[in-house]
Amino acid sequence: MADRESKKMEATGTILKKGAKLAQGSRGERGATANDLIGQKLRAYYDEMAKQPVPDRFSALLRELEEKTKKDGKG
Amino acid sequence: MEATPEFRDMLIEAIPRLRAFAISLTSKSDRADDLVQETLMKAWKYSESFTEGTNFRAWLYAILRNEFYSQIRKRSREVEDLDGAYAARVAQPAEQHGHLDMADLRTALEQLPPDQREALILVGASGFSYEEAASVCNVAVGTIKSRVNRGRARLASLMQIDQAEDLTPERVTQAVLRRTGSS
Repeated sequence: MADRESKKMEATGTILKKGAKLAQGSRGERGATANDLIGQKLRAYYDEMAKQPVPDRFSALLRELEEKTKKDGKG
Repeated sequence: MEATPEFRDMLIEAIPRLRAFAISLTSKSDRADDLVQETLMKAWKYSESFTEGTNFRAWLYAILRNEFYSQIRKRSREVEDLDGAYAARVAQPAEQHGHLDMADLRTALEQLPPDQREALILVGASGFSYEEAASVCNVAVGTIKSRVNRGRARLASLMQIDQAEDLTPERVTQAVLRRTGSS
């Protein structure tokens, strides 16, 4: 009984390993194409966001910070 | 390095992409701008903690990310229903030039767990290496890799990209288990 159980487990292990290999193989080719496509989309999405005009408040803030640093340096 | 004009120029150059990162974290551009502002102020204040010749972008993005999560922690103490509030506030910052594809991607991204979304944005979208992304997020490189992989797989299925989906190792394992279980 216990012997049968352990044999079954062993068989399952072998099948699982085969299955994983099979999946990896198919993923290798088709998965890479899907990843390329997702990568392309992600980069396009990010580039588009980065192309949006930047609010003036940031350069104003940096000018302010710079002034303050200069003043603090002298004082 | 010191907060010099050169340092200021480095910041200015980084702003557009830094802001894209902030928008992708917050899904809302006015909150993103507050986040960028805080980040610039912190970067200026702690400029000495940046060592010249090291990775400026990773340093800067880490500041923004820390700021984002500390704001969330603060907010979650104030607001109970953070997720609900978030969902209601989800905005479309790039709508004016977003064609259908981009809208799909954004919708799919929003359905990912935050850690996977962040990893995908850093590695997949903004071109960080796994190592850089790991240093920005302060986790192991393997953790970033697994987040990117899981995020990619989820995106693919959400956007119905991956034709090999029924052969992912998980699916195969499940199928095999079902078969051996019933024998």
